[in-house]
Amino acid sequence: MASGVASLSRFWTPSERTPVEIARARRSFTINFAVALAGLALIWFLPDYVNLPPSVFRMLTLTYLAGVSVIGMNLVFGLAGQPTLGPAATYAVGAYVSGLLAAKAGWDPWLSIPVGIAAAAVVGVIIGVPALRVGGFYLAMVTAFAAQAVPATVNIFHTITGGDDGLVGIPGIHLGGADLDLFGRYRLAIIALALTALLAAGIARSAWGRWFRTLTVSEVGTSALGVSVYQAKVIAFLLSAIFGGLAGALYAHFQLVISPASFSFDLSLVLFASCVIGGLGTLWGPVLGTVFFFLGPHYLLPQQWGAAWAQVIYGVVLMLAVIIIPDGLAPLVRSAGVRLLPYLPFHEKLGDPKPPASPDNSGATRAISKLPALLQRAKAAREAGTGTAVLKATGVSKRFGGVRALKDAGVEVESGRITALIGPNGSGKTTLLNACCGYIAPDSGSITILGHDVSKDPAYKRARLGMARTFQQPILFPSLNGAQGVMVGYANRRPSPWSSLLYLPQSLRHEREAAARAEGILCALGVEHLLLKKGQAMSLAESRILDLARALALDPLVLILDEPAAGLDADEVAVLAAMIRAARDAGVGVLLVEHDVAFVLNLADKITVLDQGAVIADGSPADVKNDPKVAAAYFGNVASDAEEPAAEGIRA
Amino acid sequence: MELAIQALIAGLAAGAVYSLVGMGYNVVFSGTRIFNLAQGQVLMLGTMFTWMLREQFGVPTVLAVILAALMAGVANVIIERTAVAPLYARKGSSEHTRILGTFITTLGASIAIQNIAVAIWGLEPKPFKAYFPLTGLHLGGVTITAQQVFMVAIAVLAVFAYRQFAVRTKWGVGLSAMSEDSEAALMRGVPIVKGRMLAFFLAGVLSGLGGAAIGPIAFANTNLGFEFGLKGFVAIAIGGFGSTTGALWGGMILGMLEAVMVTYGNDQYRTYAGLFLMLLILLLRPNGIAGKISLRRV
Repeated sequence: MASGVASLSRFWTPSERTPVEIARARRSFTINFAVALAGLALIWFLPDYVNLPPSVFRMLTLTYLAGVSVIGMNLVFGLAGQPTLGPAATYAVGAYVSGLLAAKAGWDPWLSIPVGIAAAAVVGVIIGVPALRVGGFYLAMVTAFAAQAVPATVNIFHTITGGDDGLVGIPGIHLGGADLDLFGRYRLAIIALALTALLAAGIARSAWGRWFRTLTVSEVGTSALGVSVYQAKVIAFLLSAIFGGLAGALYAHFQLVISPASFSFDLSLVLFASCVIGGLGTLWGPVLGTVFFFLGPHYLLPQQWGAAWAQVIYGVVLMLAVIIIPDGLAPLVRSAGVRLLPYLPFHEKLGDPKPPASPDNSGATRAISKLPALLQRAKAAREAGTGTAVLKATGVSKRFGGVRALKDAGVEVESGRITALIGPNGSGKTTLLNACCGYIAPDSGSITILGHDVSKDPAYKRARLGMARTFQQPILFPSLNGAQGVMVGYANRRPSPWSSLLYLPQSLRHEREAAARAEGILCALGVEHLLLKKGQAMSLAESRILDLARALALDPLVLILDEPAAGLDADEVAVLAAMIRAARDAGVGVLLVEHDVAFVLNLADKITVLDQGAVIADGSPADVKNDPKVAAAYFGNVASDAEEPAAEGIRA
Repeated sequence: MELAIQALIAGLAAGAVYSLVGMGYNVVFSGTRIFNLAQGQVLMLGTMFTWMLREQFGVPTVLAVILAALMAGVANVIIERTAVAPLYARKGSSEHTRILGTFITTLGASIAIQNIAVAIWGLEPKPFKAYFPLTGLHLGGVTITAQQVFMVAIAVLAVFAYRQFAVRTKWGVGLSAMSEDSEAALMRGVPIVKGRMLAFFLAGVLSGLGGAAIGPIAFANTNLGFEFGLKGFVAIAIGGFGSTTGALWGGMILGMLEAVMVTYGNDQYRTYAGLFLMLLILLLRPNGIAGKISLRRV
């Protein structure tokens, strides 16, 4: 089977070309890498060609170290949307642990620095694991507290840390037998910055980067991808703690004396502000923001204004930034850079990625032929015979306070069939759906996926077993293109965060597979024009189709569609119906939750009708349509003929 | 034993002030889901305004406290107008972006306010004339000062007054409706923007009262805002988001734990009281003890 995936990927792509998203990512990486290299060369050789006072280089060195910390913060705050107010805490832990080991225990800084980083990671876990159970403001407040506790902690242990007087006698970093001088430290800080940026880019451009981003769009949606929301947040926070620890440890060995005043709460605020102003979640934002906030007030403001007014300006700039340039500085600089792109010497060779040409214009009809090769789980289910129960909910009851939302309700989804769940408003459809997906715990009843009891499993585990779903409010990333939006859904052979960080083959392979799969699915659905289209430019129908493609990327056994037709016009509904049928024909068991009775009668193989929390009918569309109980539930006691005109409304 | 009781009484009094900040958060948060990070600075303004009115303008104490609380309320409305309203006026932004946005802008406002205060009044704490004679009521070996009674009384009165306001007045009911469902409230004719401004005003008055109350103990110190802001957060983290009485005793629990830790350890342990309580509550009851609003998204 392992080699099968490689050979299958040929089916996934219309030709044996590189998936367009991989080509685009390579191109973007090359450009960014070239720009970064040029920038690094510029600052690396700065001491050689400019004669500046040492204080400037000292300031720049500290700015680069702050950049390391801000890049880390950007992973958890920018990408994953969990604000932290205490970057100075992990910074201080790295500095004090490494500084103490070197100054008091006589460790070599090259050994004490990694231990300082590890200590920062441990503190990150102690803070992050409880705080991220809720996340959001809580993380911000707990980290703010941790940062406030730094001076207190240093003073509690003043006999070894030196308290407010500072820890003195920290050895400097030596290289080749000699201590690093001012420029040596300056260049080591540049190396740390470059390395951090490279690692952070590795995460941001991997599956983990996309999953972090999904957290800011929808946490429920993230768990539907088979990703544990809590785990993802903890990983993002841990990474930021590690980078904070690195910056702090280097700081200690650069300054040789550290005191609580170096890690005041103001430092946290400046780092926070740098992260925001540069552009949350962007590659270049942290660097731009740090330069802006560290050097700006220092060199742009008149000195006689004093520290307080400089801080007032921080605050006001922070407010204005969110109001005036909500995306930060990076996109502004980027759009200026894009205009210069054609002048890059190697620009010709990079080539523009183009979506694969459509072999014919029959659109959705091609879906039927290409999709089955992409859906391996469904294929296995199909070979086992259509009609295997892939999802079965039985005897599900749920009370909300005094309201009985579900009474002994159930639904059965079979492979290769479309089961529709319908019912009037308030009948319990959504509650049953949430119970199936694992968002609410039913009071009684069982949920099985392919005979495997998942009643106690969280949503993300059910997703990993092959339960995919779409949302009424589709998961849409305004700044990501369609290919990336679908790649989010691919969860087979998930890379570890470390392999993403270090560009290991495991992560790169996942990336190639995800890209090939996303392209395969979008092409199979006949919407290859969405590959490079940004989420913010998509229409409602396009975002619904993308959400469906994203759900198919999970390689589902069961596909749950939550009101896919709502708000679409008749032509769009017809296209969507053809896609749903294609998924069914590939062997996927589809559960369709829908208000639109006509759409359901047209599409479903089997219908379950809920009313007031109980199943009142279950059978073929024809049976259900003529069931007097159903007619009564929907239309009062009107004869079942009443719904005929509605049924004629849509012919797909 | 007497030392412990003495510590608990002092903690109760300080905790009452944390409660006032916490209540301020809740008044804004329950109606708008906005978390105003500048709230602690409004407390600081309450202290500084009281000090300024009494020391520099010679305003009688009672009037000075009332005026300072009202001025703090106005200051909080200015924060709402400059840091919050522009984000809500922008169309098409998602809930997540808006909430994260207000988080950042109110933090920016907090930094700006603190440093404007530093620029005007300086970093050095200024002596703050006591409201009451320093002799207290002696019960056994324990002394209760009038200042302590005053701080607790203000917090309890504020809870009582706010609850009366919330159920008896048209505006109070409107705010409660917003906290249940702001869209439904909008459709029933509650003016959301004015409601938000009112919530900020009331929160500012509550924090300003807290600032005035703690003046004689903390002195006129421009640097205490953020710390009190954090402690107000702990108060509602313990008591529960959206619960006014929860904020009251959440603040008091924090105040008492701090006082005990400082009495038996030293002043450096003060921060750890809040950090410890917060981590503990997260592990046990993430929504607080009397929480009405679940912060935990599924």
